[in-house]
Amino acid sequence: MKISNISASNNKMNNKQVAFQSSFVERTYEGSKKIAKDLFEPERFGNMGRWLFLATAFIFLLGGRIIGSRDKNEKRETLTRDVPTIAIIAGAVPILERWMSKHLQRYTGFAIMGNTKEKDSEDIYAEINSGAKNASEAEKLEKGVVSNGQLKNWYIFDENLSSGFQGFCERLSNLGGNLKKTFSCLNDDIKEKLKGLNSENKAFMKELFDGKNSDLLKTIEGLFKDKEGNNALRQAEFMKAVPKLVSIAITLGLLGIFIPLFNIGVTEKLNKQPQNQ
Amino acid sequence: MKVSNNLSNNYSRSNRLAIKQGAPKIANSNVSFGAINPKAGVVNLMNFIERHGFFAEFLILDFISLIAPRIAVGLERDRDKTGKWNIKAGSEEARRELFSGPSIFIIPALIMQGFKSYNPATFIPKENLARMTEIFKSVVSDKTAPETIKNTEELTKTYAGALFDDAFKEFKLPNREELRSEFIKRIMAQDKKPEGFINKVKAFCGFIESHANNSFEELVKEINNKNNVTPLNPESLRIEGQTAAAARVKAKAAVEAATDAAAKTKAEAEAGYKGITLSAQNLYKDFHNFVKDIVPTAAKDFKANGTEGLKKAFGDFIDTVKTNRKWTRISASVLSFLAVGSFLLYLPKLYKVSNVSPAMDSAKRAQCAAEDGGENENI
Repeated sequence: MKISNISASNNKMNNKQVAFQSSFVERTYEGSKKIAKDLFEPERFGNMGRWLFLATAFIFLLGGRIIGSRDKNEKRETLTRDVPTIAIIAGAVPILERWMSKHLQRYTGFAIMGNTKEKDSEDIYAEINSGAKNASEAEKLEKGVVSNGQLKNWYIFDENLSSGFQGFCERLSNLGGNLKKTFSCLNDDIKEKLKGLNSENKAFMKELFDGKNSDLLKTIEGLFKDKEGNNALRQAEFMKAVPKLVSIAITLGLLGIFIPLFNIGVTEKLNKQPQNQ
Repeated sequence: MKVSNNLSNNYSRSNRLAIKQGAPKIANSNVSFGAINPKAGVVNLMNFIERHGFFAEFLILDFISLIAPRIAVGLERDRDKTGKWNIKAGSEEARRELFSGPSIFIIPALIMQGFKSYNPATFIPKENLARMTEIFKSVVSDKTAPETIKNTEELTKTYAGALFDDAFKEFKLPNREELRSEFIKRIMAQDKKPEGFINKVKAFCGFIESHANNSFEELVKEINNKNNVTPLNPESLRIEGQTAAAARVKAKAAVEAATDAAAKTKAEAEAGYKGITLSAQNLYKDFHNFVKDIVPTAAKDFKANGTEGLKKAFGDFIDTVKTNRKWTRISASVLSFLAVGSFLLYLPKLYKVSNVSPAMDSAKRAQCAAEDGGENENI
């Protein structure tokens, strides 16, 4: 199968290994570059970048509250309460969501992560050009949770696709999904019939596409062609929504309950000592 | 000429609406309690938050976790010692939190809308504006007849055709002419303006989806799928412009002519794509912003001043307009940052009631409790 007709020299993507746990200094440096870029050359209006929000909040919000604070206690209270709050609002939800999605994808076999650098950036075909040859290589490329539109592209089979159903399956497999688990949730009937096949993606595809299982293949292809969606798409959407929901709930708990009580406790504890010390 | 059937089959209105709204098909879903499907409800809510970006997520986090609990905790503060709701602390928290958080987003949005009504092209990012202007200049300086340039509509159509040619020039398409005319038709289509006040507010906040935008995106997906690849993101397009395309062809020739492996790798590294990659929805928005602003300005100027010989000066004029929009964009962004900053710095004067903070009151009460072993109700 011919992969692309654009020059296959964009190998930058393959060579870039993004370490998730980069050091704090590196990330701060990258962040300050992003702040300058967001301020002077914003990507799209209406979407404030998270780093710019962080800088605005720290400089003006905190600065205003500290300058306008009336006594030492309010100053201390501002610091212990607002600094963690702003940091958590700006950054907690994506980090938690990405971590949960990665494990959920590996555990359930549904491909929900992919290259999510903003679509206005270059090299968006580089993944096809240099190609993730198998699932483990696919994991090394820069990943984030994809948007809903992209899920619909991957889980609904468009008849215009020139590489056919085989290309469709290969794309799903290159993204890190497990084909047998994905196809099994289409309906119970198909799940029964697929029980005998191999779990590993390449072997599964070879068995499915040989002559004996052509009826099964036709049924599966027909189900995927349905424009209104199929059960695999619904399940993938649900798998994508769950980490977001859980990470928002955890962040809400941290922000709303833990931090205020912690703050009041600190105030009381510091001032319980009698004055003549 | 009849448009072939396989174009119209995929675009029936009910199909489009059903896909875009993600409506669950009850017969196929795994769990359903009559008409309510909890899985679909969760999915729809999360999609809504994601579609509206950081702002929606921030509002939810802010309201549920900061404003409501802080007000409740403030009202409850030292209630065991004084026996009353602490109205002072509660109201101060309410005013502070309600104004600090959302104003970081709302003030820039209002400023941007002000700019948009004057100069829509400031909404286009820098690189996109550069490429689109380059393609526009090539349209104008080619063998285009002056009558086409003076007529805004004809000029727009020619420009849309030039965008198609630039984006898909390396694609092997079976029915290229049909797709080209369909592309021009769809990118120029616009939705009807919303009527009624509520619909206008909904459109302003981004709650109404644009059908013209969606149908354009489907056409782009079809074109990308028909090409000889399995695209990862079928709704993205790539736009280069003349200079980048020429440079790429030259570098490719250098790759062929390279003699040894080192020179070949070096030449290959330079032969890559140098344009920008856009999603179809963003291209639609950028196209309309460009066409509302720069194209009529250029056409009017050409009508007033231009003849055949002035086409070069016309190119410089377009460059001036582009630079003007670029700097307007930068100043809009910096202005909104400073506006937010000054509002936030002024805010403490708005929410303070007295000169003694609730924290100080609380500290004094705790002190009295520690020293006297009792409560002092008068503080």
